[in-house]
Amino acid sequence: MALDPGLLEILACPDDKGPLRYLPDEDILYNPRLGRSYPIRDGIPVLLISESTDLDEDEKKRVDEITADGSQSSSPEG
Amino acid sequence: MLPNEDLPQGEDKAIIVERMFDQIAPRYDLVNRLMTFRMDVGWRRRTVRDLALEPGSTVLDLACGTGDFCNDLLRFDLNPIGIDFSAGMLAAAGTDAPLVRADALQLPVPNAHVDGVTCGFALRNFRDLSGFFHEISRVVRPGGRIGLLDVGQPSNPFLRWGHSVYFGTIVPKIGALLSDPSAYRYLPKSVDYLPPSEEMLAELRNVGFVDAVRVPLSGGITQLFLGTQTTQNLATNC
Repeated sequence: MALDPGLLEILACPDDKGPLRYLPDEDILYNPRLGRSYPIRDGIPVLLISESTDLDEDEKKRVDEITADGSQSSSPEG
Repeated sequence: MLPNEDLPQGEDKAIIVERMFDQIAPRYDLVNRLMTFRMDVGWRRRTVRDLALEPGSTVLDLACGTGDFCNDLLRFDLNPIGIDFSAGMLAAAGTDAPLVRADALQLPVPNAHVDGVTCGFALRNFRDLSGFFHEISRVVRPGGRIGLLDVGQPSNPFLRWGHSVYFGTIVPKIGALLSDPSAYRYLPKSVDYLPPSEEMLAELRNVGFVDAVRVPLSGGITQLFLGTQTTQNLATNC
């Protein structure tokens, strides 16, 4: 189930308050600045730092490549 | 599950409150309707009306629980986003509003990004109420509005006595019959977490809601804090 676009416009990382990248096929929201992903469970984003995953370098590279083509970001950049 | 002695504080409070709401989620709405004689419906609708936001405005409903406030916001053609810490409450939610599991003290929202915030009967459940006031000040845009409901204390002595008996004795029995005994013993005790209303008003004004007012409802058994964001408090940005 894709996230509501209106919701994506509002959401940010609870830690640095910057934009997140949405990966619908993996059900995660990704913070490229911190290299951290937040899960989406049963269609509900779980934006708790305690539930996030810090990606290792290989994973960061993989996810950065997936999202480098301008996949949907939350909230305005910058 | 809950301590019978001193109320928990800090991180202990956060953990205990989260577990409690996970447990009572399935019958939460039923118990609320019964123990307030459906007055809770009117209190929430009064709050949404008094926000006086334009249709289409985005409102975060914090500690949204099972989504009652979100549904009232939708009725008034606003765009609610429900946020709660408890996975159990969100799983039991009955609303079409988008939902997010997050911490109201570390909101996943940029500065000055929403038109309003509501919160129903949860102020006493936050582990850091001052931190909560700063955080809602951070996310509400200048000119945006807040409407915060929680239990109050009637000014009339007779009503205060009657309410104390009802809230301290009868409500826990209703909760025990229908839901979880310890959670509904916690409910009247949790009122002790709330600072005096004057202090809460002063703090809301200090963080930027300079016109904050307190409106007693139903003889004062419930109180509604309303305010307009007039400054941008970035002091608590990460």
